Amino acid sequence: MPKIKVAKSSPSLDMTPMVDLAFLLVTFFMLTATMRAPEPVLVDTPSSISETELPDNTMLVTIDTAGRVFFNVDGKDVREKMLMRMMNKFPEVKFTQKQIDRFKLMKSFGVPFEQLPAYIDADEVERKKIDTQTKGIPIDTVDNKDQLSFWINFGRVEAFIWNKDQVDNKGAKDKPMRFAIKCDGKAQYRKVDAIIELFKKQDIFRFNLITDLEGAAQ
Amino acid sequence: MADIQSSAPETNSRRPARRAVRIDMTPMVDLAFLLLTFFVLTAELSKDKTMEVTFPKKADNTMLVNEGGALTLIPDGSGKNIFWYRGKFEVNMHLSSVTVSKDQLNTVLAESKKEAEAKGEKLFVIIKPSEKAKYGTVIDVIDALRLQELNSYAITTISPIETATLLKNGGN
Repeated sequence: MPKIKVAKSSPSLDMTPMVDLAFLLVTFFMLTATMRAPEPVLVDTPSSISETELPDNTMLVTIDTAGRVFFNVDGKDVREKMLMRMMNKFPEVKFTQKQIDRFKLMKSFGVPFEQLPAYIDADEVERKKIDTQTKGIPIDTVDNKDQLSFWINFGRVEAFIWNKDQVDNKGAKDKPMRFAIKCDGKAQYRKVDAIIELFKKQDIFRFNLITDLEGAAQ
Repeated sequence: MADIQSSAPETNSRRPARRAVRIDMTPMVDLAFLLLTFFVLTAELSKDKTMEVTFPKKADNTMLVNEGGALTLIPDGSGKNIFWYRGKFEVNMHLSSVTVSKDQLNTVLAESKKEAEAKGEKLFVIIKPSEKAKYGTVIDVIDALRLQELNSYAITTISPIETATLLKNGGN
């Protein structure tokens, strides 16, 4: 049988346009990406048909299956001022300037105020350990241990002042603070209700319940 | 593969023609696509979806004007059963239950809506999660309401008498 002759021209093709496009997309996604905040707990939110996206400038309360409560407020300045107010309220807990600076950049946390300085100082591994052991932010209304209400109150006051300043002095768009609740689908509704009651006491009735898009989770 | 081909014009005939400079771009392209994949995926994952819900100011029903025609849904702790009744609550009344699977609940909602509309009223839905109800079930119910475009609903706390009736009807 005669050998089949293979054409010997090199199979090189010009990939330049493809590479151009690839880099264009890389640049686009890099610039539009906002880093997802690391979560202290894994929360499996229930799925829903709602497609509304979570707006910026939110106060987020996370509730896990055990009913532990974690808290987060957006915005560095707001966080700093909120912490200052908390320090005035609980003067027995001391913070260093370095800890305050680190707190500004943190996200959700779920420790009682007394343990917060230690939590701020902890590195990633230690924080994970604390997160698994913590009982969350105290919400007991008995003997005035309800720290979450103070966080909510100070957070919203500072967010309001900050927003007003942005609108009045910097011509920014009015972005009132939103209150989001992220709760595990398997958590008891009672736990969510308890948190909502705390918000209601401060005349907050409108919430953004965080859900997964239906079908996305499967 | 991905090469830049640059051939210098042969102006000087005395020197031997320069060879085309070829740079192997493969590693760079690999990296580009790796980054591209990473950013595409993280961008997709970082979108949190939310559902806006307004809660009534008071936990009791005093503010619910047309309680007479309202539909009350009681998600229970099983995670799939939803007990319901129309109108005013009566002690020891019978509560029918439907499973949360969309069709059954949808039928009840659609029928109640039709009935209310026939009377020229707007159906008001009260959600009263039982003591043991799961958050996920409550969200499922709100979802079903949205599918039926029932926009007037409220989530309130269940009363002890209702809990007792619920237990008698096999809920928890």
